[in-house]
Amino acid sequence: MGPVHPYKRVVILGGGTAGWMTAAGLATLLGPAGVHVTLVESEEIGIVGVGEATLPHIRFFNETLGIDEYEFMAATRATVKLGIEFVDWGRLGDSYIHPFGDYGIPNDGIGFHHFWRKFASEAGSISDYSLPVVAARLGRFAPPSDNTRSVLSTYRFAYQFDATAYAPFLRAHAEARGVMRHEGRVSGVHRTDDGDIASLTLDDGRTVEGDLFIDCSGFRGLIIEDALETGYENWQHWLPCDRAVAVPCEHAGPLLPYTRATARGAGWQWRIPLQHRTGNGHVYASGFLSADEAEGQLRSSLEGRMLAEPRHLRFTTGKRRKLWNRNCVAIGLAGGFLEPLESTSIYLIQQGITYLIEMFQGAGDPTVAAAEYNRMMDLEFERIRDFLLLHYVATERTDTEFWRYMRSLKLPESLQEKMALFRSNGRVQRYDHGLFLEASWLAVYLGQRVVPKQYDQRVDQFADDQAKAKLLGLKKHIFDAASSLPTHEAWIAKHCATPPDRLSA
Amino acid sequence: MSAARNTLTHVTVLGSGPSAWLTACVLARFVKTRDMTIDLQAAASSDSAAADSVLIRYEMIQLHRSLGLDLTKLPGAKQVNRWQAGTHGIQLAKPGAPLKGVDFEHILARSGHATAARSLLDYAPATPVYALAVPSTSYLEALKRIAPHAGVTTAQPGASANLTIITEPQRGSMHDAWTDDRIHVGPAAIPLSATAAMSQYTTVLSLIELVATWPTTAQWDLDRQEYTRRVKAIATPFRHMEELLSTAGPQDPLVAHRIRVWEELSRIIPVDHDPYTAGEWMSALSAMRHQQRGYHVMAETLSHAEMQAHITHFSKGSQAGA
Repeated sequence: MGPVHPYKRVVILGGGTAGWMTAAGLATLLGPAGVHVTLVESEEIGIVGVGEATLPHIRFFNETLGIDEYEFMAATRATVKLGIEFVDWGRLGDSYIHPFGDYGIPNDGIGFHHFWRKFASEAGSISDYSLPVVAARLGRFAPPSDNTRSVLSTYRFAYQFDATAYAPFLRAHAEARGVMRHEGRVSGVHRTDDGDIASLTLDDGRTVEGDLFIDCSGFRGLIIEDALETGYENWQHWLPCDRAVAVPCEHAGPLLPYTRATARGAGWQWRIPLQHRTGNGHVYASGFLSADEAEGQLRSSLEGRMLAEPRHLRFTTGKRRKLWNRNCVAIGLAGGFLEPLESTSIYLIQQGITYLIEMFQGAGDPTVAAAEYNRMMDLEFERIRDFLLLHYVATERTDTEFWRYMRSLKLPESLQEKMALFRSNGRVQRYDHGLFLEASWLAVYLGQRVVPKQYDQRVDQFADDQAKAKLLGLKKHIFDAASSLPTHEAWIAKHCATPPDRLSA
Repeated sequence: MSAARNTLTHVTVLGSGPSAWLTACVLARFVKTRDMTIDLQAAASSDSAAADSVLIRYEMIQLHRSLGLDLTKLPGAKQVNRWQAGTHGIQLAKPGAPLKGVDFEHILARSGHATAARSLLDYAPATPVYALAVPSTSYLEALKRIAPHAGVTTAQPGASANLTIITEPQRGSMHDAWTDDRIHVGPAAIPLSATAAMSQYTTVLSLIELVATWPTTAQWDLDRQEYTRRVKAIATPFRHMEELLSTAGPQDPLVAHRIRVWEELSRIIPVDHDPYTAGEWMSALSAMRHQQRGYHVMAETLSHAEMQAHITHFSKGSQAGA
């Protein structure tokens, strides 16, 4: 029998999205094993409220916690998300949607996009062969069909929600499962003789002891950095955006089931439609644009009346050198930050929690668990980083100093190889672990005008007439299927509308 | 677009074993064009030792089916649930079954049964995983029978080719998977010794990558680079299994990490392109006496009595587990 693992008392510092997701996850899944979770937060400290737009994985997280989907959507004023529309990225005037689903159907092991590439001039946009894209453009939605033979089963969906409402929603859930909450600011972090974290002292003198500490204190990293001096890998030389300004505004027009990311002169702007308002933000590189200019551009592009004063944020893209260091695990902004271009913030929180739960030992050497956790999380961060970078470099834009800088960037070798391969023959480098798989790479490549010179030669084995007819038949079938769905607004109204008295909360 | 298409007209597969015949058939089925010949040319000298049977894993059956070959009907084909690596039996399935959401390996570690005195192979899997063991002679005969129909021709040694596919292990140092006009497939690209039973599996996996990266233009540089990268990725876990089963101990830090994670967390680490099941890794780790010390905290929710009953149920030799 190995050494008894000491982690029975978990202390979470920070009560934002990361803190309460972690608390709810650990209490639900490890509580039965006698793991006690305590969360320390201060109502005086506002939360950043990352990730108003999410990825489909969050549905699994909520389901695991036993959360009712419609109840959650109503509580967080959520809408449905079928993908992200990217505007002005390849060229000014361009638009494409990165969907949560595949394009077409592979044939004899040959990717659909090779068939599309061969007949591209007659086949139209590859977007016409993705059900979630077509449904998103039509503003329609229903949950995917369970019938795997139906084209209506070929997509997934996520949510666009009010992140400031998600943490309180989870708090109720977590506290019902035994999570103890302490209100207060941390005034001291105490370490044992061997360097581990022993306890936190709150400003009123209380001490909170623990075996394992989860740092969800945000960018600063009160434990992982201030106390443990873990160090930070700065990736700003690849992803130079380092500021954001965010502001909500009133709705205008129909409720769209997708997030929009519009490329700007020195960064990009998000638009996230919720049930009660639209979230907007401008992510920019301060080396190329001042805060006033960034805010001005954001204000002038709002679709409705501004509902709050703009909020400015600073960040450094990158991650901690070790996300699990000694007996501290950094989750959320305390662990690292990648700009929310592909809505990955909550996904990274979720993965951090998932790996922590998977590696939560009853016995065994915790340094080995930490090494494995860090290996897996490093992989997640690095693969997302490369994918984000692709958006900035797969472009023909040279209209501003920022875009000229991005075009001259020296890319990681791994990304250079991937792009050269796709340009040459339409092949997408594959991996099993990590977030963005083939369909995602295809969406950005083709959406940003990286079109392969060649298609797979095996396509020529199929008779042209038949292959073309099949392609066009599929296009019509997808359009008809998407058109048969209810509107996004009607679906929300029927299943998960937020009661009017809570809409303005 | 057609002007830049590749100009391959003559592909020669070198070898005389199952890897060579399967390679020729697959290329003829999936990449051969009207203007192309796929020749099979017996190698001047063969390093391949003929095994009595070829192990066909479940995931290899589909490729054979696409060639019109139903291996389950071959004379002498039989289901097996393990394969042999030297003196070690490697079981395809994970032993036991979860209890109340806790995986069997954690129950063993928690209960103290995961000792050096017992092997994971002492416990029966709840859900067996099978592969086919096909007599080498019938397998080879079957491939030879379908080859002409697939479009494979045989050639005399020395016949010229645009591209030569090597399928048998080469003497000397390791070769790149694709150099100039020579492509290495299966055992030629991923030489195995302790785990030689996996040789045809390496052929299937590298062929899938070769088909996917087959040259589409006269410029092969990127195809070559990508095939080489993919084969290297496939080869890594095979190499790790070889290292794991070697008495010399692990050389690669990731193998050492894999062992430590098994010992301290009872976890099989996920890696890209892993050809092996968790059961196979557990078997190998157990066979090499890497003893589990750590387990998941949820194992503590089980009482010793229920763990004992569960373990006994799957113990080979016990009434229930036999």
